[in-house]
Formats: sequence, structure tokens, C-alpha cells
Amino acid sequence: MANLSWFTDKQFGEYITYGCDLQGNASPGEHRYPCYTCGHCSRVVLLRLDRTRDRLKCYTCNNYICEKNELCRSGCTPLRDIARDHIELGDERYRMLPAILAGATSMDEARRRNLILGE
Amino acid sequence: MSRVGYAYSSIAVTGSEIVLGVRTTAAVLTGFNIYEVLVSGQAGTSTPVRLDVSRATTATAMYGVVVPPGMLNAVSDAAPASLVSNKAAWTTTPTAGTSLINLPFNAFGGIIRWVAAPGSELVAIGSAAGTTGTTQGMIVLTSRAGSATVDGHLLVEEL
Repeated sequence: MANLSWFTDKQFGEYITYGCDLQGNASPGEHRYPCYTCGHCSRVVLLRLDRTRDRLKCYTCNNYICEKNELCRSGCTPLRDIARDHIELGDERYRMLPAILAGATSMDEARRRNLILGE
Repeated sequence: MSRVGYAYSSIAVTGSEIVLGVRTTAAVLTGFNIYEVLVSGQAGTSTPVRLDVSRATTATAMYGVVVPPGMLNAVSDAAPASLVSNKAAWTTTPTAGTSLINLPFNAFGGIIRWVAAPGSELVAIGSAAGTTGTTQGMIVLTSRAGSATVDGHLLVEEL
């Protein structure tokens, strides 16, 4: 079983379906699926109950992050803090912001498209 | 922070197309959070549909009629900084980028609702001086497969 105790209730989001499941099959009643939001790119990740590997966490911003996007693992880009707190321009945390917003998913792609600040 | 809801009704989705978009009003470092998305179907027979919520990689320069916001409480801003439009009003169609949330459901009476945990909302942010991106403060609801008529709402918190 996955160790869901890593997460507090406040870190879970939820998918809730009524009348169908997440595969689109008709299924009566309500179905609830826990998920979290990547703290860097905002991708929503569905939690598998049978997962045994650790979830990735950024120890700079203390958010869980996704595994799909190399940019999320290559530095801390706390989108929510940037939007909410207006972190000073030039801060290291802006470095990969254009690449993440433009949908780049790897460092190679971001460099090719000239989307990494300061490079 | 101001919280507003954008309800939409009877939007026909077909195949792969962008059906709804929320964007910031200016290409500055402002943004909004989306903390709830709900989609429900009106189909009369079993109709699997897959929608997703994506960040737009190219935002529209401007679009037509906006969906009026509903204030969620008395202190919400009646004229929020985010704008919503649907495909019937596009003057320039945005381009959807990486999917942030997949929303597969059956439009035959099915409903799918995504709710963010506090602090885990989807963040849209306008680009700013000092970054090399273009205006990116836009999030779109995109249909990826299936055809149906859908209703729903987005709940938005302005930053």
C-alpha cells in the first residue's frame, strides 16, 4: 500500500465524479479520487493507492512536484508564491518560469527555445 | 482575495478544440488561481468525453463577448481582472499547451468536479518584464475526444 501519511488532508485535492468513473464508464453514485497539484508547474497528479515509491518533494518550497516535467525537478519555481507574493524580479526562482509557462518539459527543449533566464 | 465564479451552459464540444478560456487582462506579473472545475453532460445516451484544462501557450490578443462573473461573496470584485470567453466568441483562437488536469467523464448524466486543496490551486500568471515568455496568463478548457453538450463552472481567485 502507498504511504498516504506523507500527505496531510490540506495537501489533497480531489476528483469527484458522479454517474461515471474516471475511465468514462457509466457507474452509478459518487466516486472520489485523491490528487495533488505540482507546486512548480500546476499539473494535477492523481494518487495511486497501490504506489509504493516516494513522491517527489521540493525541499526549497516544501511542495510536492510532478515527475513528468524535468524542469520541475531542475530547480525551484514556486508558481503560486511568484504570483501571490510578487517575488523580486531577478530572483533565482524566476529562472525557469518562462519555460514552464510556455509548456516546455525538458531542459534541452527549454534551452533550444531560449526560455531559461540567464542562459 | 476576490473570488468569482464563471458558469457556462450548453456548450457543444466536438473532437479536439478549445471551448473556454480564462486569462489575465494584461501581460504583467498578475495572475489568478483556479480552485474548482466542474463539467456535467447533457447526453441522452452513453457518451464518453475527455476534456482537459491546459495552460495556453499563445494567448489570444483579444476576444469577443466575455462570460460575466458571479461574485462569490460580498467583497468579491464585480469587475475582476480575469476575463472568460468561450469558443463562440473567439476572435483569435488560443493554443493549448501541456495538460494540467484531465477531465474524462461520461456525458450521459455524468459530472466531474476537481477541487484543489488549499494552496494547491492552478496558477495562471502573466509574463513580466524580465522574463522571455510572451503573455501566458491564460488557462483553457479543451476538449480532446468525444462529442457532447456540456455545462459547468470554474471558480477563480484573483491574485
